[in-house]
Amino acid sequence: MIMTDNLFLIYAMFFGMWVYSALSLALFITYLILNRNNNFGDFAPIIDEYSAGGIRYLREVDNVSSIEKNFLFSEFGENPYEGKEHRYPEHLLKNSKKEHLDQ
Amino acid sequence: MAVVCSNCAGKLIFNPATQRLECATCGSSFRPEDVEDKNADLHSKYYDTRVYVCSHCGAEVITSDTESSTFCVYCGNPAIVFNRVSQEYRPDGLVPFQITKEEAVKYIKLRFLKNPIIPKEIKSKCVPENLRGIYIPYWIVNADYTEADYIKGEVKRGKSTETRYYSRAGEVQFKNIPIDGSNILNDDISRKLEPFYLEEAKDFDEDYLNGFYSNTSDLNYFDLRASTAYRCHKLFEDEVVKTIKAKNIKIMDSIYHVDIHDDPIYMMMPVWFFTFKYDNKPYTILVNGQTGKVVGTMPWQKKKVYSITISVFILTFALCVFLSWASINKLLGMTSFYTQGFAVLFTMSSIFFAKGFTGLRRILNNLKLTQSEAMFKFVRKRQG
Repeated sequence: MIMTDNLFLIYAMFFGMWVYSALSLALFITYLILNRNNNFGDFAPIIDEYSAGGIRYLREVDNVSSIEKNFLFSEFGENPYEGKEHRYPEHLLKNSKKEHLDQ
Repeated sequence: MAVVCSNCAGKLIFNPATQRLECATCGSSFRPEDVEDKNADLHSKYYDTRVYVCSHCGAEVITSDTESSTFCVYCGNPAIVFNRVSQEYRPDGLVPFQITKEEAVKYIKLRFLKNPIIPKEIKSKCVPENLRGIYIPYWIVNADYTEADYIKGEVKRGKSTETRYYSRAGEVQFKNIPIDGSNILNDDISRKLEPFYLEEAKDFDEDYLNGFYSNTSDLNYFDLRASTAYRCHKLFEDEVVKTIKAKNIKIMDSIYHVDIHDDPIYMMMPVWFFTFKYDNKPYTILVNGQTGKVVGTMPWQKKKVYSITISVFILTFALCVFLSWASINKLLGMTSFYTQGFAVLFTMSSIFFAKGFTGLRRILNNLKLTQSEAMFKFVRKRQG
């Protein structure tokens, strides 16, 4: 009886394994086939393409404690550009006015 | 309005192959900068356009007077009607089309149409007559940017894994970031169209628009600021994780500030649109009009794909059953060799499963982007 139970368990295990293997391979091959229909991800611009010199680090600390988050955000939480005056392009202002009128 | 041929008064069309304005009637050709625009002095900040509106999706398409619109280039619906003559804000510059309509078709065919699972009716629709060239508005922005990130990562220590936290903060001076100026075009799609090479940009001259459509920017200053901040954040985030030597890195919290410099440059970028309907759903495949880069996900014949998937499943399953049946007596012994083999098979299957599952999810997400529903999310909202 014990032998029969073991045998059943082994068969069930193998059956499950083969189903899982077949399903995985079928899923992977379907992905490979459909991926030929997809063209979205072959260019990921990096920061150097749009900046002179990349990031200038102001803080770079590893293995910090949980309190660090509070320090970090209290130090950098304030907007350093607050209050700067700007000349907005006419077109952008016109769109703002248009939206305001639409509302 | 658009200029006419000085020899025969025929309509002039810009030819990307020669980079000249060509008269279809007498064959004369001119450099755009040599053609005099009599209206330029009257309204230098604006230029005249014809506005067509799609009654199906609400998109506005702008043409010069050499081109009339017969169907919506965004959703493919023929219910497009002439709405008004409008004076639009003159862009600072533009990158002229360098890829011809025929070349754009060739690139789409090379990229997608050799695949046997593509429906035949799409292959037959991919002809130059069904492509439309549109100048998409972009803002080229310079900005100062500051960001602070609190990051989590996992480090191996002996046999155990330890979770560590990292803090990073920094500032960047961004230069010439292209920000899609149209709310109609999904930002994820427009980002994939990049790069556009600004070295080849020209001062704006409406003669370059002859034979093409264009769209004007409908962003306000706050939209532009939000799009720029998001774009800078993504670039900063991608860079900052490279400085952390850990696995499973996750940015737990970020705070960022952006300051756009005065006078961002308003530009027009060339894009070919191939719009079609399949299974009652609209699709749009885009081709960068400067580089020829094709962006989009083509629909597939579901029956063919399902039959391939099921065949692979049955074949793999049958092979596994046969192999295990052939060596069942040895397997029943469960020697360590077979136990290890079992573990290897399980690991490999798990890798295939994970790769296949995440890959298929990505493809389906991209397919949604290609379908106009996603592209015209904003328009539908506006339509209520």
